[in-house]
Amino acid sequence: MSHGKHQDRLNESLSALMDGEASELEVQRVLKASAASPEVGERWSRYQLAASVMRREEVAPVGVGLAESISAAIAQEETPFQSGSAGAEAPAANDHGWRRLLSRGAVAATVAFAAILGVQQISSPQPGTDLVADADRAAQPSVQSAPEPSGFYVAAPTTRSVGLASPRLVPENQPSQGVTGQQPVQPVLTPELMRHLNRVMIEHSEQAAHIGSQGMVPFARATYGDQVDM
Amino acid sequence: MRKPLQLHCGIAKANSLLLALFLLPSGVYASDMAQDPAMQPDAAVAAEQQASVETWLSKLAQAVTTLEYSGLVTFEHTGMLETLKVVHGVRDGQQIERVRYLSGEPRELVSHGSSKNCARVSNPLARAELWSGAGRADVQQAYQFVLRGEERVADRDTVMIEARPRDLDRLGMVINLDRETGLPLKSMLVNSQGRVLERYQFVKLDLSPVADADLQPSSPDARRIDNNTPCTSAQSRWQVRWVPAGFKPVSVRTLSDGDMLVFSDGLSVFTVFIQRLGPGLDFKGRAIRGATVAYMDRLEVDGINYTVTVVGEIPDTTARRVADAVAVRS
Repeated sequence: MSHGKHQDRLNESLSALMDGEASELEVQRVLKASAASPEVGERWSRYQLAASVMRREEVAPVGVGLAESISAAIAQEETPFQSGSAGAEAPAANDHGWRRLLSRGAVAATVAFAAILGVQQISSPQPGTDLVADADRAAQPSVQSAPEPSGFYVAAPTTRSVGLASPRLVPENQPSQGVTGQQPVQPVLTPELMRHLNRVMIEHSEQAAHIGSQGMVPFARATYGDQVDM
Repeated sequence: MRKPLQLHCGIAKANSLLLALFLLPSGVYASDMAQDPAMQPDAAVAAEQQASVETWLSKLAQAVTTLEYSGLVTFEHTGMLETLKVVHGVRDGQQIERVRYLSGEPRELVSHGSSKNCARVSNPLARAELWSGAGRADVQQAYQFVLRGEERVADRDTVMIEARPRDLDRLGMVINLDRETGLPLKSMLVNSQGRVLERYQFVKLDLSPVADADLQPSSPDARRIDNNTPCTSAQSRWQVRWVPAGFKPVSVRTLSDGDMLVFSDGLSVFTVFIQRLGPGLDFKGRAIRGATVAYMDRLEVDGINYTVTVVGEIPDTTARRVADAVAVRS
């Protein structure tokens, strides 16, 4: 499967994806290939890392699991639109309906969005909705310094630190809610939004420090996102 | 390496099972959480337990305000671990606290004088307030306190107390108190599924008096906060039509761009921000960092857009309901 022509095309698709210029077909190709071959997935991760470094972002290597997250995100988007049209999976991209969603900008947004979702955990109480995020935790048993009381689960350590102090964003209008086709995926954590979230989290924690207290915990929270300019 | 996708189904099932277990009314699942399986639901025993919990909580309230200590702490949320140095000193009856992150970006905070409290009517863990009879009854409507046994933390013996919420509108808490002093050496926030969202734990505790130099920031750009007048009760044009049972307003502040309303049930705290911000902030949804959730929404009043943000260590569903309940005071 590693013969020349296919490999070349794959490489092109990979780099197109990294540049945010991949067509929907190319995205599918990379997803498929990375599902089949861990090597492709790893290469993708390396590219991501390289690109991040070039953009001077402090981003941890994105796990191979990103492919799964994106697959899941795409699968989720498909549902509302496919129900009408016999669901034919035309390989030649005809620019209709949901496919337009996956045009360049949207693909890039999806990738970034999934990157945030994929590495964090969701506290959402509904079972099933936090599949993507949960995978991180459940893939390995939690490592604990001391056994917690029965019935408590501690998240497994992860290597990630996507935006060290960035809060994780979960926009309200999930794609599965039947959003009209033109609606792009929500932008991820703009600097403005980040500043706002940090500010309110800090102000909240400082107030909380005066109220109920478990000692200095609220101060630890208040200082956590502090390196972001306020 | 990641596990293949098929595993997700198994995980989902396991999760819903756990969920089912933990969503049982607290009375039901409390039975298997009691220390001694042979223990009968004996009123006398329960009363003794309760008395003991209360003794510990008053010890805690005393310790966090009056003790001088310093130490190294791990602060962990959802798989991420940071280490900090904390110093707590008392000068002229005022608390001076310093927190410095030892990992990641250098971050530091020095807080002066939290001697005055935002006195919520009843607050068992209030820093300067002792566990009063009224407060006890009040907070126990929202949480059930259970002694969970002993554990060694930072080379010291501790007593573990669980505050188990009586509904799904707030998070649970597990606190380990130093047997000798009552100082909390470890505390965890736990959601309704039993998942630990945040863990703050001493690695090393030093109870010797704190030197003045240790209360000075070690980096020039440390943030300083002055807490001498923390609790204002400004008039706000906003009201929150729904808050979970037991939550009461403790502070209302006017900001440069809006209002800030703080609520507490005695243990948990959340803050409602209503601000006029730029159009770049019309995000609707939630942002989560560790145990802290921020739910954002917009509210239009008389043609003006306001950003509503509910922040707190509360379930995101609660934050959302609170945000939905914000309205102009009529």
